[in-house]
Amino acid sequence: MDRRHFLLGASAGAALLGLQRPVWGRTRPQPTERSLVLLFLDGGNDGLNTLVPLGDERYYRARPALGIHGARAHRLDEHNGLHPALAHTAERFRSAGIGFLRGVGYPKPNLSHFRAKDIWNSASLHTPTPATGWLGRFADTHLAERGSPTSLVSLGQVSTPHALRGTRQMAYALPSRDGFEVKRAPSTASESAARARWRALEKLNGGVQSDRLLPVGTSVLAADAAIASIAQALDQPTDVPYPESTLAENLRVVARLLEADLGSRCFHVTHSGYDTHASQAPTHNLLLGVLDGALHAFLLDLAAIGRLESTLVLVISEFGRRVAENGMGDTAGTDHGTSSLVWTAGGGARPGIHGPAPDLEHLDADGNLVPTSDFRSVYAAVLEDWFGVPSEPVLGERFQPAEILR
Amino acid sequence: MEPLEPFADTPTTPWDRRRAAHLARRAGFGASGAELDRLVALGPSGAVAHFVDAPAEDAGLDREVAALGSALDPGALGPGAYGRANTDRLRRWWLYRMVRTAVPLREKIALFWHDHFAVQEGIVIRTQLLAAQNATLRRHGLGTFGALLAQVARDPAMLVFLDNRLSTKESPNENWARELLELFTLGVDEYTQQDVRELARVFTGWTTPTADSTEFHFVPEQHDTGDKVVLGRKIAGRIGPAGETEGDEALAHILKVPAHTRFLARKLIEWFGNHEAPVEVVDALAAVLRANGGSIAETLRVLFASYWFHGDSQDHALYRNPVELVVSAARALEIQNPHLAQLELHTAALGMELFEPPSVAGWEHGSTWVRTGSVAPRLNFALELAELPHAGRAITGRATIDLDRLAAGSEYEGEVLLDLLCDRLLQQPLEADQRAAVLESLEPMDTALDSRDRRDRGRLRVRALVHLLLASPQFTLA
Repeated sequence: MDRRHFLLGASAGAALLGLQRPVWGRTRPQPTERSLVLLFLDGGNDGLNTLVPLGDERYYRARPALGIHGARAHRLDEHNGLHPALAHTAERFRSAGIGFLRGVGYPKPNLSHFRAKDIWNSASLHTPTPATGWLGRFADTHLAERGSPTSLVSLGQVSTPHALRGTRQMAYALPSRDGFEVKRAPSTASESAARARWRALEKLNGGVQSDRLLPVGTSVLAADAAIASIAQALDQPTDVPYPESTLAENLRVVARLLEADLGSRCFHVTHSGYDTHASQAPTHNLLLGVLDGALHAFLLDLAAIGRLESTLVLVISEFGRRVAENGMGDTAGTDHGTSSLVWTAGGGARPGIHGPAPDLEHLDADGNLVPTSDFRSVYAAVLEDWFGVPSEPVLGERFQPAEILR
Repeated sequence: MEPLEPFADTPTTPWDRRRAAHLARRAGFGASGAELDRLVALGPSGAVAHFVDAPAEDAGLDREVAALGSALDPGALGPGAYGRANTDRLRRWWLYRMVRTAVPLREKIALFWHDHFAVQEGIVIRTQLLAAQNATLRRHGLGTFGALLAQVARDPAMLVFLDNRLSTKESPNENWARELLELFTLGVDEYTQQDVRELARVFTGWTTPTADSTEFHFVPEQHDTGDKVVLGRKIAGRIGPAGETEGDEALAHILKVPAHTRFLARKLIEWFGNHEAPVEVVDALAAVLRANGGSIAETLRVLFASYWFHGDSQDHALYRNPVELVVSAARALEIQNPHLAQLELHTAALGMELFEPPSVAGWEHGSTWVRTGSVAPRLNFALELAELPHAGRAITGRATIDLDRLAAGSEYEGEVLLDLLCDRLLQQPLEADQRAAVLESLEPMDTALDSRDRRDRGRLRVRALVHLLLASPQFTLA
């Protein structure tokens, strides 16, 4: 806790952070007005060094180089501390703005990034992996009728994330703030020539039927339908300062799209680089620092535009990392693990630390944590408790919703 | 019919321009005009040989690149060079080669292996390491997989990227060992975590002197000399310099696992044949790989010369990845000085920045390239290429396009011009509605330009048609 926060006291601090709970009696946003921001930490975030089991000697024995001692961590309670780079997150936690669910995984993990991502994205353990993602299937059933071209939006990559892929509702992928608008004709063209050129482009793309050509044409028309409203939204000013990072910029764009009220229900943002096999300490510190700053600014922004209560931020990663570190001194890293840490923030998030403490005494045969929650129970909570829809048709099975939402 | 029965030139299945063009799009970056005529004249096996028997060196191209000066020469990069400016130089150099090469499979197979043995600039850092790996992939790309793998296992960019250079007997690092099995040779679920652990021990001591070095270095003192068991085979621990041979023994053993040839055959088919590889074709090509000691050239020869490959349903069935899209366009349009056309920025905007794949698994292919996120960069690329300055011959210092050459013989007449450019760019007809819409769009252009002379109007028509055809759904397919 920094000095200013201490002097102001917790409630004033909470107000500064935009964390004040809604006034008693004020109605919460209806499920159909709610949005989800899925923030994916790509590579396998080290849950043990994110939410540190302070005082667990087995943790420090397994990690002589990488272990984070109580004095360095942001202490949350007697047993838990946050990584030193997570200062804002710690403040938010203390003001009841963040929740963590520990031990999230799936049965029989095989430690592959790509298999793990297939499983998390499709919400299925089947092979071959289903082509659709869990949010894509949600959108197919519940959003496609309304037909907003921006119901599902991904940021920061050209390809549509697997989690958002459906069969009826096409996700709009916005690779970057620049260059997403289509130049329809050369600047020297007359107005009528430019119009005719665009008409031809539309007919070129709208007039195809074959299995291979149809998706190409459909994407062009879907992107074109989304671009104008997105461009307009992005022209709006941002009143909250954001740190300089790609992640922060992507979240800032999400906030502008939420503010513009384009009917977007699910956003997908990726933060990459968490595969810390070697020299983990500096890399992880940098990554969590970027995440901390970006998330903090984003939540402030949401509060400022009145969208904090209607937006749930869900932070996930494909797995955590091996309990024992793999090297010495500066080069120490951690190999692939199993269960990971899920974060929730924004509207609906149930603050606090949920799920049992990591059991470092009873590791699996590979020296990994044994997961205590199935990731699909997290999805079930989002679908049922946040979006107010039945989860079983989307997940293919019944999962008891994890108690991560209020 | 056997799954890979050799294609024969018969009256019902003639070896013609359509089939030769298909081969050139898959084994290279497309061909048109006189190049296509030559492939037809060579006959099916001669045309396939033209690609797969590509000489390891392309002296003509090397001279041409050298004449462009040191700004494009990765050999001129110092050992410490890093960062976007330097790596963009490497990207431009490679894209230039793809556009101009006379032996395109040599570059295309290097691209295939770059996707397979993916490394990221963001982690490798030094441009020279990326350039050295690229040279290895080009030189060994059509040889045997075993020889290539032995090089990649010692490749400094890979040793840095997957952390093996830091793997020691006290603390073996699993990163390389896991991806070697999962992504490079066998596929997921063909090995256990125990195999990963043992294999990591085998490769302890395989390193480089420094993170900047382009030299492989085996350090016996960092090598775990105990016995290991990998995929059921005992590998006896060895002391001293002999410890290095454990790695080669392990690689040779991995390649004998039956899953390996199927894994590699599937990947080759997905790249060169069809995104959905039929299992009987995979099995047949896996047998070809085994029978030829893992030779990539011989395996591709059988694939490219098969009835399956030339079947009607394979024509225009593969989505071009961004590099293929951009290079095919620049090649078909005979862009002059293509290294100055910012092709490296276009491939990046389209989601395929060379030397920066999204992960060690390389890029995702297939319909992923035609979803919403690719629309603006693809359509903008089409317009930008169509609007390059016109020049009758290359002008030093700028990328240009010869619009008159593209229109040769058409008198700039709309329908004739459209047919010419369709043949050059799409090699498949437009639907009737598409064709009508394209021709219709030329009319307001013409009326607005009454005052200009006929040739100026004609050139504008060429530009308009190039823009529209490159932006058509058809152009996304090879």
